[in-house]
Parts: sequence; structure tokens; C-alpha cells
Amino acid sequence: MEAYGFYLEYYNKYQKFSYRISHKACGRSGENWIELEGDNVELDETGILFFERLFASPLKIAYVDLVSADETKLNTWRYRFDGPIVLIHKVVWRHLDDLTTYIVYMSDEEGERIIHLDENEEIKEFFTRLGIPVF
Amino acid sequence: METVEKDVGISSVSRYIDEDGRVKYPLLADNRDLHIFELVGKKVLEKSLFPEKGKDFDVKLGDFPGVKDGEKLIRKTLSICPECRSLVRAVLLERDNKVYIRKLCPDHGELEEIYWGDAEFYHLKSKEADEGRGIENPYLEIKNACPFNCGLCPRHRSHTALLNLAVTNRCHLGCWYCFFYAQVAGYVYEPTLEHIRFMLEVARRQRPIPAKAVQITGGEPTMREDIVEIVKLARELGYEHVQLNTTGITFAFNPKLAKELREAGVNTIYMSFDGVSPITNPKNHWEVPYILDSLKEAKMGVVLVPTVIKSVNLNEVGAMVKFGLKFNDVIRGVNFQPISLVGRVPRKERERLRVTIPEVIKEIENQTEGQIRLEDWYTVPITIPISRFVEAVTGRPQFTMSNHFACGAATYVVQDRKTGRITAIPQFIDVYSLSDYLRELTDYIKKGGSRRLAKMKLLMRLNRFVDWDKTPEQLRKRKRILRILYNVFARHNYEALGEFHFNSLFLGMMHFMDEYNYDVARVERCDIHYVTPDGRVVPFCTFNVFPEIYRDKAQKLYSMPLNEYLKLKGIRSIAVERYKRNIRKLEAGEPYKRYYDGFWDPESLSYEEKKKISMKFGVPVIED
Ligand code: SF4
Ligand code: SF4
Repeated sequence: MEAYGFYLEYYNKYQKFSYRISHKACGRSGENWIELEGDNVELDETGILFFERLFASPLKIAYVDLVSADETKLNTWRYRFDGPIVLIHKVVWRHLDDLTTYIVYMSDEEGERIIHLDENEEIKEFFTRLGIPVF
Repeated sequence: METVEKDVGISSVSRYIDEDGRVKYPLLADNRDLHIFELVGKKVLEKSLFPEKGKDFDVKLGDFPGVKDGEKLIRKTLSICPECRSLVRAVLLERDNKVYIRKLCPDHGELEEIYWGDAEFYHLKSKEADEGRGIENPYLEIKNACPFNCGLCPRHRSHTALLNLAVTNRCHLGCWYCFFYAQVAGYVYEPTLEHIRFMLEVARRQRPIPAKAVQITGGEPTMREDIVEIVKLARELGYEHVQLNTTGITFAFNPKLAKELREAGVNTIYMSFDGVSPITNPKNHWEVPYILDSLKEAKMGVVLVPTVIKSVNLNEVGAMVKFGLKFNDVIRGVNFQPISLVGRVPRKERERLRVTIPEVIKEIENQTEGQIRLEDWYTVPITIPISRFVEAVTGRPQFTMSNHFACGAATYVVQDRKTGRITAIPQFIDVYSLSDYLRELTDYIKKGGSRRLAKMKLLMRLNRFVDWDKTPEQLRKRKRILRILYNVFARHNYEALGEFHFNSLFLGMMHFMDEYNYDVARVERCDIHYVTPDGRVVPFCTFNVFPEIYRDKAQKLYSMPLNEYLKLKGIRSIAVERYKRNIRKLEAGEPYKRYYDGFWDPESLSYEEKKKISMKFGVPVIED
């Protein structure tokens, strides 16, 4: 399976908010989840669509916003793993009461799912269940 | 959706689609079950309608084009290569106080096009940019790059502010530049009432803001015998604003229809009007006086819609404003549309035709002797702080006009009844300070402040934003302007602007894009949408810029071949439906003189010249 992970610092000059996105990628090996190492790559078309499928809905951000923003910093990693992948992006909003959101992408035999979780008990439970430390 | 599929069964959906993926329209059309329209729509979308990479479009993301000495980069974006219609990288740059878009196609090289004819004005207006809230329940997932994933998809930034509903591709004219009307297209697209109900409902499903305003368009919508029923249907489904986009010609000869439409719920007629002379407006010049009389009689307001072309009618923009003001008992506004170029147009030709928003505004300034100035115009997102304020006050999501600032601008002008002097509202209202104050009040409420107190504060403070010495008399009287402003800002009642009614006029401008100046950052924020027969909601500037992917492709699948239509109607040719013009008779009538007196001298052209103008445009001329 293949997935993309991002590090993004983005500033929206119109509404004067900004956020930082970081991520962690895990693959399931037997009963355990192991942290994956990705390849640092240039954002290609597949990566762009991956990015937009993750973030367009909750963050209202598309690729064109990245290229046209005055202040953006983006790094992309590609993960390939022979088995289920869980990719967790943590979004920390600035200028908006320190809100943190987690966007989780899961890909396994049953297909792909994208879920959005706020920083609350639910996310902690989710991480604990998977045995992944909260970050 | 799940239950629907279970009830109806996939096999019953397949019977409405032939082997080539075309909808068997007469069979589908009789269906009274709206779910069938939905299921058939999903099926054809999956089978053939959804744009396919490599076949319908391509993505060629090479390098960004370079910026040369003497140029300044404004921002990066994505655009379209007019040669291969692929998505490519582009930049917006400034040179000699003009804004250009430059794109780079890895296969076809660089192409540059004017974007905004005044860079200083562009920078000033970019401060008005703001963002909308988009929609919570997009119609499609993301599979393709924007703009080949319409729509609306999760990227899209604006809900539908105005929904376009095409009800026919038949037309009583045959304008030389139109490839869409039935006779040329070779098919008739005419959704049935039940099908229209489905399409209108699709846009009403949008959350958190269902579509509220619809423009019924065509072809020529008045050619449908059931046009009044369509209007009633839109009203019944909750559309608060219904406008009809028409040549108006039908009303010149059928004033009764205007009344019926008004009674059925049409608020405004959107009428093509390209100038005050037949040279600039061969489409409906002779009929306009009679149309306006019919509409006045029906108490129906009209917005004139000129397409502005540099070498054709840019010299008449001031006259059109004055025409609107003179007959503002029926004309509510003039909405200028700088030309959008369809198909391949050579560079020289583009330079001859192309005009952009700031250039039209400056011409209006020149041609109204400086009375309506460049700085009197504001771009559409300037209204967003109002929506947010009302949202904060009411606690409910509000209708927001959040298209890109470069798409359109507007102002309101008032004419002093005694002196005839024209004043634009921003000359006596401090728009920026008012907008800042609304932001301040919104923050105050968001941080827990009292909503009532915020409204009170606004009411108390409004006075300070008005320059009473410059306010025209009719708005100064009993401080009428304050009441109007309060209704607009605190109650979000734009209809209140109608109170400007006496001697006032809305002036708008929207520059639809074409493949030369295409900017993905704009289309992603588009709030003027079309509903397609399969149930998608597609931004205007993809629907019409990529007709082979969106407009024509979808409509053709749901159409009837021309010969079948003729057989159904018992006619031999669609030409019998064409309008024929009697210039002599129209010019002899009293309304013709009443309206054009002072604007155009009919003696300045011979009858033969006029006849030629009409025929060349595509409207045959008859004599008694
Ligand atoms: S124009 Fe809007 S709906 Fe169409 S692909 Fe782009 S974001 Fe999606
Ligand atoms: S129709 Fe075109 S010009 Fe108008 S808002 Fe949409 S994208 Fe902008």
C-alpha cells in the first residue's frame, strides 16, 4: 500500500489564520504497529490528489492554495508498505484558540477510510487501541 | 441512497440507458419518481459523464513560468493551456501597471494574457478578498484535479449564490457566434417538469445554505410553453429569488406573459442589452422599448446585461448607465460582462476584443464625466463581513457571496432628481470603515459579547459612516439611508437595497473566464453554478469554458435528436420557430422614440444599412 504524508506550514492571508500540519505513519506488522520511514519526495500529481482528499474537506485547502499563498512551507513523504497503513496528520491551528485536529487515513484490506478527530478522549482512545503514542 | 437503490433496483435503472451510454430520454422523461432521475444520473456519471484523464483532459505540471526583468510576481496559480487544454502552472505578474497571467505548458510553451488592466487597482481590491465557508455535503469525491472534478467537490469554497437552470437549447434567434442552440447542435435539450423538479431539489440539498436564487436560462426560456409552471415550481421548492435570462423579445409582443411570470414569482428579468444603437446591439435594439414597456406594465424589474467588447461597444458603457438611470422605473441595474473568448482566438484578435474589469470601470468614469469613479467600485467579497456579522447575531449560517475578488465588482448609483447629478454610494458611505467595524462587532460576539448590544452599537455608530453633505437629497430625508443600511447589515435583507429605488441603479460587473485568462484559484471559489441533468452542480466557468466536458456532454446525453423533436411537434423545420424582425414597424412606434430620444438618432443609418446589420447578426428582416 502507498500513502503520502505532509509537513505543512500555511498562512491564510485573507482570514489571517495559520496552521501547522505534521504527521506520523505506521504500518501493521503482525499484531503491532511500527513507525514507517518515508521517502522525501517532490509533490507529484498523485500526491496532490492525496493531499486534497485528506485536507480539502476539513481544512478547505486545495493545491492551488498552496502555490498561491504568500507563506507556505511544504514537505512531502511517500510511504510504501506491504500491509495496512495508518497515517495520522495532526493539525494545530494558530490564532484559533490552539485548536488541534487529527486527520487519520487508514488503508487496509477493507479499503480506505479518512476520519477526522478532535483532540479529546476519543483520539487518545484511538491511539491507545492502535498502540501508537499520541504526538 | 441505499434504500432508494434497494427499492428501485439497478436493473430498472439500466432500462433508461442505451448501449452507448445515452439516456433514453422520452422514456425517462415520463417518470414521476425523482429517485429514478437520481439513479440514472449516477449511472451515466459513472459510465461516461465524469471527466476522464487522458481522454477528456490532461495534467501537465512542469515548471512555473519565469518572471522577467521589469516584472513583479504577484502570485502563482494554475491555468489551462489553450492548445491542449491541459492543466498547467501559471503566474500572475505585474508589468507597466497591468496584471498578466503567464502560463507554461511543457508541450506548447509559454502563453501570456492580460488579467486585470490596472495593477494598482488590483492590489487595492485584493485587500477585499475573503473566504467563504463552502458546503458541508459535497456532491462528489475528489478523483481528478480541479477543474475536472465538478461538482461540487470538497475543495469548492463557495455555496451556490445563483443557480443556473437551462430549460431548453431552443432559441428564437440564431446569433452568429452561438453553437449551442438546437438547430446547430442537432439535438433538443429540454428537461421535463419532473426532471426540473429533481434538478432544483439537488441544489436545495446544499448544506448549510441551500440554494436560494435561481436563474432560468436557455437557449431562450420563454420558448417553453410551460415556463410559468417552471417558475411556480422553483418558488414552491423554496427559491426566494427567481430571475429569467432572456433576449426579452417575447415580451415585446406578449405583455401578458410578463404579467403571468411576475405573478408566478419572477423577481427580475436578466436581459441582454449591448448598447443603445443597432450597431452595438443588433440583438434586440428595436424590440427593447416595447420590452421595457411590457415589463413596466407587469411591475417587473429588469437588469440590462451588456457583453462588453473593446472594439464594439466599450464606447457606449456610459450611455448604457445613463439609459438605465433614465428609465429606472423599470431598469434596476446594468450588469456589464467583459467578453469571455470562446474557442481559439489569435493574439491580434484577442487584443482587439479583450477588455478587463478595471478598463470598463475607467471607461464608465470617462463617459459619465467623472461622476462614477474607479474607487467607487467594490469587489463582491466585500459583503462577506456582513454575512459573518449576521451569522454571529443570529447564530445561523448565512448566505455568503464568496467568489474570488477578481471575478466581479459592483456599486450603486443614485441620481439627484433636481440636478441630475450622479453619485455613487461609496462617495457618501465609508465602506472600508464600516466593514472593519462589522468585523470588530463579529469578534465581540464570538468572544461572548451580547448580540443585542452589538446590534445597538451598530445602530448608534452607523451615522458616523455617512457623509451627510454628500448624500443625495432623497436619501438624506428622514435619514432614510440609515434605515436601509440597518436593514442590510443587521437583518441581512438585501431587498432593502430596493429602497434606493428612486433614481438609483445597481451597477455590476462580472468577467467570466476563458481558456486564455483561466485561473483555478478563481473557479474554486465560484458561486454562480449550473445544475446538470444528471444532478451535479457545476461552476459557471467550467460549465461554459469546457462545454465538451460539462455543458454539451451532459445535455446531449439527455437530449432528443432534432428529427425526433420535429416529428413530435409536427413541424418540418425548427426555422418556423425563428423570430423575424419588422424594423420599419418597430421604429415607427411611439415607445421607440420615447426610449432612444437623446441616445440614438435612427436617421444616422439608412434602412438598408439597418437591415444588413440585423441580417448579418442572424435575425431575418421582414416587411409588411
Ligand atoms: S471548480 Fe470546484 S467543484 Fe470543480 S473541481 Fe474545482 S473545486 Fe471542485
Ligand atoms: S462565473 Fe466565473 S467569473 Fe463568475 S464567480 Fe464564477 S468563476 Fe468567477
